[in-house]
Parts: sequence; structure tokens; C-alpha cells
Amino acid sequence: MKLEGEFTFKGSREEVWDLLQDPDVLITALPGAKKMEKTEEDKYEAEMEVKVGPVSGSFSSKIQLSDKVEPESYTMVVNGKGKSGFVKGKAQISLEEKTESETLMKYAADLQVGGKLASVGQRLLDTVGKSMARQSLESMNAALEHQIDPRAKTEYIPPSQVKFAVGVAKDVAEDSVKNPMFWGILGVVGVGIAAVIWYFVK
Amino acid sequence: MKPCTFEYYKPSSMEEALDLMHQYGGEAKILAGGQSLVPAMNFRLATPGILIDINGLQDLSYIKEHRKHGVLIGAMARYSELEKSDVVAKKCPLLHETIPYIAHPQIRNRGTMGGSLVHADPAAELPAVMLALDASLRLRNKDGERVVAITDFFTGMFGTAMKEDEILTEVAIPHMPKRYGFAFDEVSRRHGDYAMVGVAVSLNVDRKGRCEKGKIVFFSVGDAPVFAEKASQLLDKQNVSEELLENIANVASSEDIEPGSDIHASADYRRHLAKVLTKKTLKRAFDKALA
Amino acid sequence: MATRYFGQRIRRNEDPRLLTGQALFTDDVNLPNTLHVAFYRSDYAHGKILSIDTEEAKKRPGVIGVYTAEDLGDYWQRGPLLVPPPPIKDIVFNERTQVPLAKDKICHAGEAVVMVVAESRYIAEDAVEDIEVDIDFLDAVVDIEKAMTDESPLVHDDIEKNIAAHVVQEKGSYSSIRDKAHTVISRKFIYDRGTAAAMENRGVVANWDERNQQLTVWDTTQAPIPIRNGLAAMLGLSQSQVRVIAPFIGGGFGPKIMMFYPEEVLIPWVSKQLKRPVKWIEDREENFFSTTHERGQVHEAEIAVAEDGKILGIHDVFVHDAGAYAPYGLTVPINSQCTLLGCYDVPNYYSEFTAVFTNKPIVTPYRGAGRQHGVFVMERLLDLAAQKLGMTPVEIRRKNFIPQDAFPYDNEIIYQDFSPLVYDSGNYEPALKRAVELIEYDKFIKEEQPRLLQEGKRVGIGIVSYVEGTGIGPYEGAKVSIDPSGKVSLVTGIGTQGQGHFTSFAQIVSEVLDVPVEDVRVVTGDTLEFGWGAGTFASRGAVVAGSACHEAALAVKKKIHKLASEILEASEDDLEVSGGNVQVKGVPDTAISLGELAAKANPLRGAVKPGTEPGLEATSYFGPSRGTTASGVHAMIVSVDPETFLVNIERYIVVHDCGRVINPMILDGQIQGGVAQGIGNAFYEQLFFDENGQLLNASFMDYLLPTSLDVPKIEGDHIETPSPLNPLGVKGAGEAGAIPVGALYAQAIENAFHDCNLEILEIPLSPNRLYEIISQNKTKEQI
Repeated sequence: MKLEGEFTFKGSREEVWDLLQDPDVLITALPGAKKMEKTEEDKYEAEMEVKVGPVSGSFSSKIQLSDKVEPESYTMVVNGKGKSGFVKGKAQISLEEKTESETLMKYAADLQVGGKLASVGQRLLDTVGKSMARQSLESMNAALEHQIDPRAKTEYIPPSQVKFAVGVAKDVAEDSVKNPMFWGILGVVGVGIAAVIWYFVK
Repeated sequence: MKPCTFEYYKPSSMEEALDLMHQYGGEAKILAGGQSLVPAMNFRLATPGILIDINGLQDLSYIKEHRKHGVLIGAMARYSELEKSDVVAKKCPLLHETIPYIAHPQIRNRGTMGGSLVHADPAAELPAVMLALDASLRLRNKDGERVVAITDFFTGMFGTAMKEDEILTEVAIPHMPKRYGFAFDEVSRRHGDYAMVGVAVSLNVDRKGRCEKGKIVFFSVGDAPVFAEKASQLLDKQNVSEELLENIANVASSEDIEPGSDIHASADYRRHLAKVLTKKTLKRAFDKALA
Repeated sequence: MATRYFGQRIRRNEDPRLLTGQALFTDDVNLPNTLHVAFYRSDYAHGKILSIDTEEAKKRPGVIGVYTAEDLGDYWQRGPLLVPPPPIKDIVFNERTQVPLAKDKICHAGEAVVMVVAESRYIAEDAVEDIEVDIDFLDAVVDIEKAMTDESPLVHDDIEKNIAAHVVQEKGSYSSIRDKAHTVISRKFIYDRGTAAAMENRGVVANWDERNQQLTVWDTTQAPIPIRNGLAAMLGLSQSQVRVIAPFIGGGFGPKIMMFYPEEVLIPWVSKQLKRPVKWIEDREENFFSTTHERGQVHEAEIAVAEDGKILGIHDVFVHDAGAYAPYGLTVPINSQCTLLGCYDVPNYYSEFTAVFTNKPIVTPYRGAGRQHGVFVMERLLDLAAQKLGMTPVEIRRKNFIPQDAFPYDNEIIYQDFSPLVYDSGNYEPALKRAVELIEYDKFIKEEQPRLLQEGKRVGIGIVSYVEGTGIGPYEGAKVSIDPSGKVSLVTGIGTQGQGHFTSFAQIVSEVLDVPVEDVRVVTGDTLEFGWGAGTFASRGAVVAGSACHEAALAVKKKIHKLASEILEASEDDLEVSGGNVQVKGVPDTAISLGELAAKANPLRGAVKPGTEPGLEATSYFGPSRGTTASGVHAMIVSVDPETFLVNIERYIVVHDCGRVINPMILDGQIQGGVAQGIGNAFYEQLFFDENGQLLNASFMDYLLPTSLDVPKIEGDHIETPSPLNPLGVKGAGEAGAIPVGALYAQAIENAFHDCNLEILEIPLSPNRLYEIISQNKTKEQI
């Protein structure tokens, strides 16, 4: 399944870059992120509990970064496994300067979904993928706006399940944030992993 | 395909049910008709630790007419009851026309109006029909009650504006205006299957046959029912004509919807079907309104 | 000679039990202390197993045992090769059969890796979720044409280019006639995978009785005797210690003749290990992965015809999807190869196929067993040639039918039973003629279709024909005995999956012994009752087992005559068996009831003379030298919605020739059911695999079976060309309904758009696919 899109962040390229490094922000954009750990240079492991309607599933994911060109682009490979199936993805992310205060993020992800999610949920794969990608990015953009202008009255409400995640992220942040790619990647990982499909039989 | 273990409660009163929801909220799932929930549990895709069975709440299952608010339907009204109801046949003909398209009789004997709306499957018929009818929903929790307009209710893939401890209790469908027209249609592989594309149309005309208010709503073309805004606007103050129908169908299928692809239908084929169905349903709706 | 029971529409003996829920199916077997099994099955289609951690699973309360390939020890071995490669010149065959539990490598999604035994299936499934298997993901082999390229990953590391087999069969010389042809049509044809989706999934209940040292197994198999023999050998038991019972089965259709499935070999073993009854019932999701599939092939085929439409030759090269393992040998592709020739006189034929391994579930015969592919290619080639030559589909077929006087007709290539493909008998023209009449073919083309087209309706007609090799060996047996009560007992080794053996076999015996059908009690599929035979497959039950029943009944009749002649002191020729008695012809006072005679045949005093046996009982076997050829013609009228491309069948006709008919009502049921599966195969059922070998529709939500709303009532007729190869003159009919339906859909839909240059070269079809094909072929006229 191909997921492609663009999203305009209301911030300069450097600000977006930093945003993607900020663990607090990124965790909030990823519904259900519970644990993140750097195992090696450019390699990370994460635990996520994703919920779509009444369906939920836990995923253990391994993430690997490569082809980094700061602050323009990088590649990320994700391997998520859970009881209801697996998600493997490869994403190319690029950041382009649109204006001084706007950055165009382009993503092209190739996602493969398997196990029960695919064999019972194929009807929804396409739509959920697009839907979650959009939601994640909107959430991150809201976070960016809030971060750039903390005096802004706009109330930024992170998606649910955040408190725990934020706590965990803080612990993990010190290690992981050394690698600027990681959080950018995590954002897209969230997109990728979040394209997990939930299905209901009528 | 056996579910994981779960705790089971069957409240005998609304108060009890709301208490349980307050206590367990996010961990619990309401069991109404079970036609979507139970298979998901058997597949182990849904693993609620707690099931709250509301089939004992008799006072949630009614279909009645209210002078001001329109037709009031209790959340536990089963599809089969809606199908047989005289009130629905007379006062909500669009809903009446839709029910036979939903799954199969066995499923309709158990499935409920409330369940369908709360479950919010993008391929479900009732959410789209309620959106076309401008319905409003009554939500209750231990602290009180609120009414949510249908346009604010669906938030995304299987997502609704409900809070974790709320139960949907009632759906109110406003009275039909004068010179009312409606139509429902869907295309599915076999009778009773998920629709590849579906449309619900609700409109009324003035004395000169010009459309006063029209709503075209699609389902199975996105992550929730889709109100075809651009296309519906084109109905405004128009008389029916072949060109109008052709134009609206084009706009609806190419600009208002972003269908996905799956093994049964490509996005392209879905757009084609959307165009075909829009023309058919608009024509039928106008015919009824003008009669 | 008028028959009393044979050929009658007699109500089935077994139906009262089946309809009132009194029949025993495998899941009805409930022994005290039974343990239940669930399997950890791989999500990945292709991978190397790095580690398996079962510790948590073992700790779960209620879990009795957790087994990996390692835990099986010496018992772990590859399944047997069920059908060896046929004796064809220069054949390439790379044997690879399935394993009970995956050891180092996963070869298809759903392959079993760990077996969990617990007090209930719920607990077993909970324990499966406790298991962690670390699998190194490998790219999967899915597309069968790409499987043979150098860049393709290998399903089995030691089998180059994933080639399971390569076979060439030739008749005459195609290359020598090609240039002489008036018209040559070449196309690529695609036929895709489906599954049988029987109403009842597989199941095994095994009970090892330690005190009696006996193993009893209830199994949803179509072949209880070979299973008994195999299990005995594998478990180090003698055959008499093992009893396999195939009780009532909710549909076999072929995948249940696949033998020594992993579960089939593991459940009896674990029962013997634990000394408790063990039960495994497959759920529907498992069925999509672990029960075999069929139908994937790609053909590049060519037909060379003369100006008058006569076939000069056919050239076909195809690739066959074998799945991850090939225990059933080459039965399916050989059937495709052979059945392609159809009812036609094809003087020159070159057929070459490569069977490839893929990372998908195993392929074994499913109703039709490869014949549909051959029929699809041949019928399509004929239709395309007919169009080119300006002939009708009826004319070109008539032109090429093997004439009635040309039988036995030798096609000079080898069939699935390893004998030469010789059609024993056949008469194709009358069936075509009858079908054309019944569907009012000419009237439709000349009057109805143009009128409907004026109204903007797209309605088309199709007519196709085929042959079906049935009733192959090796043999079957039956035992008939007369009870002192006068009732008859009939036992045969093959099993029954709903096709009415309890009645049709009874009718055969009733006809010989003149006893009412309901007084013949039939037992099938229990190795304790009858231990010699092969199984129910390839449309052979009625022919082979039926003939054995006939022979056994005749042998009993002979004994009746012999004993009665002694008792009545009359010559054997003067006696007649009728109405449940034996008497001197024309002298009713002499009548002895068969029951009484049976009692006398078992003396409590006196001696049984040397060379005789007590009782009125006989066992006989029947083994035909080769199969007998049935045939048929299907015709239908379909309407296609020009906007949505949904298809509706307006009429469906079957004119079938399966020789003499035992029970027309049962035959009608077989045809109706076969056509329903054919309709599913042609327009609704398709297994979708993605590039990682993931099955995308493993549930009936997305794998669409036709319902009663989608399958019309079949109208039709029967022609009877008796078979010279068995005493009854019968031919098989089990698969007939399903075989030509794909070709029929293609022809009829093309015909509905006959002004549009449409070519349909693939099956299954769907409204979406029709939308794509037809949009690409739009003419100036609006569709």
C-alpha cells in the first residue's frame, strides 16, 4: 500500500526539524506510544498501543534510519509486529522551504500489512492509512504552532493516552533525542504504524 | 476463533448502566445487537475486558412521533422493528427504503439503530441516512445529558464525538418538509454485502418545483459518511433536468469524494458507481417531490 | 428392461437423519476427558525461523502440552508423496512435500509452527498468543511467471527457479501444420485461485486407548483407508490397531482427499503421547490457510484452424501454481493438459507445462481438478477462431466433435491415472443439439437480443461443451450380506460427503436382489467395517464403488440360487429372486424369504462343506483398467447492467451425459451444486494474495460465495451413452457442473457486447473487472 502526501507545517525548515526532534511533541502525535528505546546508532524500538474504535492492538516496532541529509531528507524503515499482524514500512521524507515561515514536508511511504489485519481488514487498509496519516500530521502541526508561540491562546490538546506516553518519552528523550532523525522518523513511523487497520464484520 | 476472556454485566436499569459506564468507561464495550462487536471479538481484533449488555434496558427501544421534534427512535430499536414500523414508513420514508439493504434478516433481527451509529463503520447505511436527514443524537452519562447534531457526531474512521462514559439513548429525526423527495441506493457484490458505494438523497422543492434544500450523502467512499457539499449546493433553487443531474453527478463523483481502493472495487470504479447512483437517486427524489 | 430401483428418483435414505440433526459429524464426537488443540500459525509467508519461545504458553493454567518441530523428535518427517510423477518421457519432477510443523523455514502464510494442547479451545488460543516466534522476513514468491526468473527468491533453497515439475506431452506434430493453417489465434489466458469453502471445515478427533492398544480416529477425510494405513505405519502400529472413521462430512470437494495434512498426523500422535482423546476442529479462518486451494494457471495458447473451422492443431504452454509444497504430484496440471482436448478431434497437440512452487498454501484437486483450465482455454480459442471465420460458437463445435463411431478414441497422451487418455465412449452432437433447443439459441440471437439492445439492455448467450474423465482406478470393494431379518447390509470402503451414497449404492443392490431401497443399510468410510480401497475423488464413487456393490450383490444372488436350489431341490435356473423371497418360478408356495434363507445358511448343526462359506455374504472388488468419459454442454443467458456491470443469469441449461443414471434426483443435486461452485469460481470467488504472499480475503466477508440469490435453478436434460467399462454402464458426475462455467461466462458476456470487440481471457471476473475491460474497449457507441 502506498501512502503519499504533503503537509505544510507553519514553521521554518529548522523549526520543523527541531519539532521533529522534540520527543514530547512527537509522542503526542502518535496515539498510543508507550515506550521508546534507542538500541544502537540509528536503531530504535518502540511499543505502541493503537486503538481504532473498539479494536485495539499492541505492536512492538523496530525502526532504522538511513540516508540522512540534514535538514532535507532521510529514509526510515519500520518493522512492527503484534498479535493481530504486522506492518512493515519504508518511508522517504523530505522537507522543503516554502516560505520563511512555512515548510513543505513530503512523504512517500510503502507499507506492507500482513497477518489478520490484512486478511480480515483489507477493506479498510487504504482509507485508514490515509486517514491516520492526515490526523497525525494535523496533530503535529498543532503542536508546532503551540510550540512556536507558547503565548498563543490556542489550546493544544494532545490525543488521548498521552500522559503516560509523555512521561515515558521524557525518560527516553535524553538518549534518543541525540539523533535528530529519530523523532522525525518517529513521526512518520507513527504514520506508518498507525496505518494499522481495524475491521468489523457486519 | 474464540474470544479472549472478559467480564460481563447486564444492567437492568439505565442508572445501573450509567454507573457501570462511569466506573469502567474506556475499558468496557456496550453490547447491543452484537452483530459487529461479537465477530470482532471472536477474531480477537477487539479485546474488551468488560462487556456491558444493555439488551435488558427495555425503555431504550421505541419508535414514536413527537409533534415538535419529529420521529424519536430509541437507541435499542432493532433494524427489523424499524422495517416493520408504520411510523417510520409514513414519517421517515428514506429510512424505510434503506432498511432492506442492510445485511440480512437474521442480522436485522438483532442489530440496532444506536449500535450502527456508535460503531460508525464507513460502509454502514444508517450513519449516511441520518446525516442526510439532519438527525440529532441524545447522549447520556452519569452527570447528565447532551444533544449532538449528526453533523458533529462522526469524527473519522470508526470515530464519534462520544465520551468514554456516554451511552447513546435516542435519535431524533426532524419532520419532513412539504413537497419532500428522497431516495436511497447502493451497489454491492451480493445482496446484503458491504456496499461498494452508497447514496442517500433527501430534498424538498418549492411550488415551482425548484429545490429548496437538498442533501446528497455518500457512504463507503471515505472514513465516514460524506456529505457531498459541492454537489448538494448545485441543487439550490434548480428545477430538475437531465443536464442538472449529469452535472451534479459529475461534481459529486469527482470533487466531493475521495474513495479508496480494495479488492472488490478500485477508486476509479467507485467514482463511476457514485456518478451512476447520484443520477438515479436524484431523479427518483425529484420525481417523488414533484408528485 | 424396466428397472425397479435403478434409475428411480428415490428419496435418500440418509436425509431424515441429516435434516433432524441426528447425523454424526466429527465435531459431534464428544468423549470424556477430551483435550483441545490450537496452532500457532505463521503470519509471514516466507521466512527463516530464528527462535521459538513457548515458556509463557506452557505456564498458562489449563495448558497440557506445547509442541514444536523439535519436540516431535523422530516423528517429524515430511508427508508422503501421494501421487508419483506420471511415466511421461523427459519429465522433470522435484519432489517436495509438507511438514507437520515448520522447522527452519516458513513456506506459506498460515503454516503451522507450534501445536498447543489444552483443556479447552479457548485456553489453547489464549496460549497461542503467549508464544513468541522470531522469524526473519524473506521476500515471497507469489507471481507464478516471476517465480521462474533468476531474480526470484527460492521457496525451497535447493530447488532452482522454483520448478516443481516440467512436462511435455505431444500428439502428432503441431509445428508441421501451423503454416498450413488458414487462421492461427494466439492468446494469453489467466485462471486464478480459489478455495472449496466446504460448509464443514476439517477436523480430527483421535482416541488412543492404552488398555486396548487401539487408536480410533474420526477424520473429515475423503480417504479413511489410506489414512489408516499411513497412520499405522507412522505410529509403529499394525493396521488392525487403527480404526479411521469418516463420519458424515459437510462437503469434501477435493481438499479433503489431500492426505496427511499436518493436523491429521499430529492429533493421533499427541493422543498416543498423552493417552487422552484429543480434538482439533478447524475454524473458518484456518481453513483459508491450512486447507488446500486450487486453480492458479497462466496459459499461452494457440489454435490453428482450416478455413472451414476444422482444428488442425493446438499449442499450449502454461505455468501452474503448485503452492508451497506438492504432495499431490501433478494431478491438477495433467488434468488441464488432458481435458483441454475436450470433445474435439485434435490431430496435432503440443502441451508443455511448468509447475512452480510459490509461498502460498498447497494446491491439490478441487472439484474439476484442473479440468476447468483446459476447458477455458479450448472453448475460448474456439470462440475466438469462430469469430474470425464468421462462424457461430455452435457451428465450430459441431464441426470438430469426435463422431459417434470413432470410439474408443485414443488421444495419445497420458491421463491422471497414468493410462493413455482413451475416451471409451461418447456421443456429443445430441447434447449440443438438445441444449441449443432448450435455450432457444437461434431465436435469442435473431429476435430477442436485437430487441433488448434497442432498449439499452446488454444480454448475451453462451454455449460450451466439455468432457470429463471419471471413474478411474485403482479399485474399490463392497461387502453385501443378508441378515436373518431379511434386511440387507452393504459396506464399502469409500466415504460419503453428502453425495447420496447411502441411497445410490442401495439402489444398485436393491436392483439385483429386489429388496426395497430403505431395507438396504449402507455403511461407508469406516476402516473397521471395510479395510480395502482408495477413496472418494475424481468422480469415481458411483462407477468404481458402485460397480463393486453390484458385483457383490450378484455374488450373493449366486449363493442364494445355490443354497435355495439345494433346499428346494430344483435347478438353479428354475429359481427367481423377487419381492424379498426366492422361489421356483411360477410356484409361490415354494417361496423362502431371504432372511430365512440367510439363517439356514448359517447352520448350528451339521458341517459347512469345504469350499463354501456360511451365510449369504460376499465381498467383491472392481478395478477398471481406465476411466470412463462423461461429457456435457452448458448454456446460459446473462444480462449485464451497462452502468454497474453487475451480472444476472437469466437462464442456465445443462445437458449432461454420464451414462446410465442411478438416481436422477441425486444427479440433479450434483449438477446444481457443481454449477453453483462453477458460478462462484467464474464470478465471485477469488483468493487475493499481495506481493508478500498475504491472503487479503480470509473470511466470507471478502471471499464471496454465491448465495441462493445468485444461482439460478438449472434446467436441463440427460443423454445416456452407457460406459462399456463397467457392468452398470455408469459414468461419474461429481465434478461436471463446475467445469465449463468460466468459459461460459466469458462467451456469454462477450456476446452481450458483441458489437464491442470485447475479449475476455481471464477468470474470475467481477463487476469491477468488467468495468475496466469494457471501458478500455468502448466503441463509438455509448455502452
